[in-house]
Amino acid sequence: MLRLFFIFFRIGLFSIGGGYAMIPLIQQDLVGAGYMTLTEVTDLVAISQMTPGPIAVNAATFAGMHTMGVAGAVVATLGVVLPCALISVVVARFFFSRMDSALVQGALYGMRPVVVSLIAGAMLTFAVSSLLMPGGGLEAGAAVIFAGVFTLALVKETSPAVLFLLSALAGLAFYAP
Amino acid sequence: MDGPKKPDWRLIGELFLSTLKIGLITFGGGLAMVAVIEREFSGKKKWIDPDEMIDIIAVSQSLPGVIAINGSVMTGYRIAGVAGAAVAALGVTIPSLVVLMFVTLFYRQFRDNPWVNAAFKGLSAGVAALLASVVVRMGKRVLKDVWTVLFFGAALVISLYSGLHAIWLILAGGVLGYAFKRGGVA
Repeated sequence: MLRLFFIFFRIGLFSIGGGYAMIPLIQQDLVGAGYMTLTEVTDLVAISQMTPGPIAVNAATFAGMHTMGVAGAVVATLGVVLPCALISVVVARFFFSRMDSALVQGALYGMRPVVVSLIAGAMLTFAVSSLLMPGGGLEAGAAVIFAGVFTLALVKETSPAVLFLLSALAGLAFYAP
Repeated sequence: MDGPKKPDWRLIGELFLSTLKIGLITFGGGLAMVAVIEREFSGKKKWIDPDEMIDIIAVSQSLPGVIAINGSVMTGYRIAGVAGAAVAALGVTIPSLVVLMFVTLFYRQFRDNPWVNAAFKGLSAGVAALLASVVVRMGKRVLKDVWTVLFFGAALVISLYSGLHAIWLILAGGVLGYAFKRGGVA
């Protein structure tokens, strides 16, 4: 149990770039320690993406639950969340007190456009995987959902909760058997 | 400007409920999550300035760990100090923990269920659209001159075609941004 905690503590501490960056580490550590097989890690990745919430937290809960039940789930999740929460509080303290300095403002001037492009990159990844058919060509249902949600979000400022609900319902309408 | 001296429990409670809701409804991982936090906290509730929210996202992406946790902790700290940071971390974590505990029990059925997959297809398109709207909205605020547009384009092309880790792009942006400001170019 303690080992599980430290595996995830280490993953939370050392991976930069969020959920997807953690997956190779999770694979290495859990398969290496004999907690999971490679197929199970593939399932873990798929399930973590299909469920709400941060991918890394989902993955930690899944891995903990799968190997040691409810206690394992709590321990693994604490392990992954604690280091980043602690680091973030320390950084927040530092950051907000120096936010107006020329150094921080100059750096942020260059960092902000990069952040927008990273979000654009994530958007393109989702768009390509959902809007394009494997052989090429546009997935009509998904395209309708994309256009509808985009318009609602931008023009009507509809709340994300409603947008997610509508997307899931529209997905059911278009793709359910 | 630090967090408030005396904790405002009403605000902290509201913050906890908001993050709980965001943790429960948001599909698409960390960036989608900070995008939803931005929408709720700076758009709807006016808890935080939209420009500051972009800065928080920039910093949380360059820290180790889970982007959604980093982003919500920094936002929570800004709104209500250390207690705000703690409830924000709990808020985005608890829904995942509970949902995944159940899903793990029968994950094969979940993964192979045609209804789940149909809903997920819709959700993926919805996440893409939501992120696209965030890009447009943030783009309008951030891309104010020729240099920021150039930084945006260069970072997008590099991240799409080279697979270079996001942290290097953010760091490069920071160094160049400071240099340009310092040198009086921008």
